Amino acid sequence: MIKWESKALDFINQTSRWDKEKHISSFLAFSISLVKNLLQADVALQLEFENEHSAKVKNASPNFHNGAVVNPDPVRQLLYRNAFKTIYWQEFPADNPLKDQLEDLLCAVIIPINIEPHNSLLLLGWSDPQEFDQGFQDCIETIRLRLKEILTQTQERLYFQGIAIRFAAILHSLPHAVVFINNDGYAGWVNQKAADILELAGPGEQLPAILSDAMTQLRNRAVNTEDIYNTAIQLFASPENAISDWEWKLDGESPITYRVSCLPVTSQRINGRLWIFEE
Amino acid sequence: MDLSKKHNIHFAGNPQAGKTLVFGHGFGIDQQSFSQIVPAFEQDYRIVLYDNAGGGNSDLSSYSYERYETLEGYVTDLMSIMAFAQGTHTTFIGHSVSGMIGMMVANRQPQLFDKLVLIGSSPRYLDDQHSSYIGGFDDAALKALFEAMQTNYEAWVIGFSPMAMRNEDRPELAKQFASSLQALRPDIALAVAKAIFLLDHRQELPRVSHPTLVIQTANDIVVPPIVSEYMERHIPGSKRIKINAEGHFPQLSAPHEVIAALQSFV
Repeated sequence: MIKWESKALDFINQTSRWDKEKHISSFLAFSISLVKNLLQADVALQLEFENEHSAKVKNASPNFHNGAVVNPDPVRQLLYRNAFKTIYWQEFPADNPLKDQLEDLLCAVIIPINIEPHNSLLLLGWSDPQEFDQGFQDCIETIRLRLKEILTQTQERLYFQGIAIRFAAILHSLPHAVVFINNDGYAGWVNQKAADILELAGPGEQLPAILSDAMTQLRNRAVNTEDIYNTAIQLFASPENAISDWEWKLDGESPITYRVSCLPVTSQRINGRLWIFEE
Repeated sequence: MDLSKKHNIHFAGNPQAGKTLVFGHGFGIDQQSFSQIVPAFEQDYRIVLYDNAGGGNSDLSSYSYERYETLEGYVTDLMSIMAFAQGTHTTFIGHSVSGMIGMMVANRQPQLFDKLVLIGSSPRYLDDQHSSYIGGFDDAALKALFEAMQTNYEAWVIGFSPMAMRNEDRPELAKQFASSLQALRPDIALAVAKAIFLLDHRQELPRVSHPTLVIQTANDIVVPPIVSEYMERHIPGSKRIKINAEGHFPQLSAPHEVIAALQSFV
């Protein structure tokens, strides 16, 4: 196998075997570092176009480049002039907008990676002369396609993690105990308050079977178990039924009455029941 | 974007002079804060004045939280301003955060400046127990500062202005600073304050290769003397002087002291 083909395959293999248990933000850093090592570059970095006014260096090696802000317009114009194709510089043009990043280097490759919402480019630089022959360029194009997948995956995961963090923070802050049980039988979720009253190890994802068992135990501790049972029969007679102000009276050292609501949750992607326990 | 408009760049002094002075202002004020200093140098220097993004009469439409999340955005701005201004034999005079911005520019593009003057600048405001560094603020103090700015900006301005300005016998100075802070958009003021008070650029100090003057005043709530002593120890060949002024804004409260210090150095 030719040297450059082998390097491209190596990049795909190693990035495919990346340990998914690690935080997603390290995936791109790992991938860029891998490109640098495989191509024996002296500098490798991502330039992310954050908005109209800002482009920032990220995942750089050497890492002193990280955080540097580059004026985005001249770089965008450069990419535009080259029709967003990979740019191979055997020597740098006079109007090089990446001067600071390419200081003390001799040649460079600029790989545009266009994805939404933030476009990026990968900059590779060498302090020795390089042959950018057809084999090398084919290798770069393969790496570019894989990097685009990695960047897309990274941005999506970070976006969804952000949403999950936001909603978890909101739901954990509610004064009520909230339990969601998905009808698929595989997914359930509780906030901290619900985890406390159901005596679960902690909040977050739980198997519905565990939640059902915990809720049965809670119901069995009630002094009005029979009332609860009879109401439940009526409630579950139809999946559309809902109830509120349903009293669960618990005895014990500190007797407490929960006002329980049970509402169907129906959307295109999810069907289940939301339980809310108010003291 | 027109750079001149973006930063409200003004040229003053003698355009034929072979030497240039560039003035960079600190948080909450603008290039007007040097108005009592500039006349003393107009005959012998070409003078460049500008407003930092988000402050003074800079173009707010080009302010970006991402770009100015750290000092790096301001550093890139100053490099662009210097390319635009085409100064020769330039001394950069930076007040407060602009001192650090100028130092970072000097470390990246040494050819832009011949000398640096840092007035009330700090490489880190937060104490660092791990390295026994004292910056003057602990976590609780900074948290309280940001909360106060966020919850009631106007009230924070009223309380902070006299503390930072000192010179209680001249209340008009604190009032002037308060007016300047009130002119800022509170969301931008908070973002800028976070970029400043959370910075840590101590590693830049030993890299400075330019003659540097560190100016310290008395009773500066933002930068205690121990910080300027730290800067003097860590900037190779730097010189620190204590001028007869108090508060964080000597260019406003004691301009003649600042002029004398600058004249002794430039």
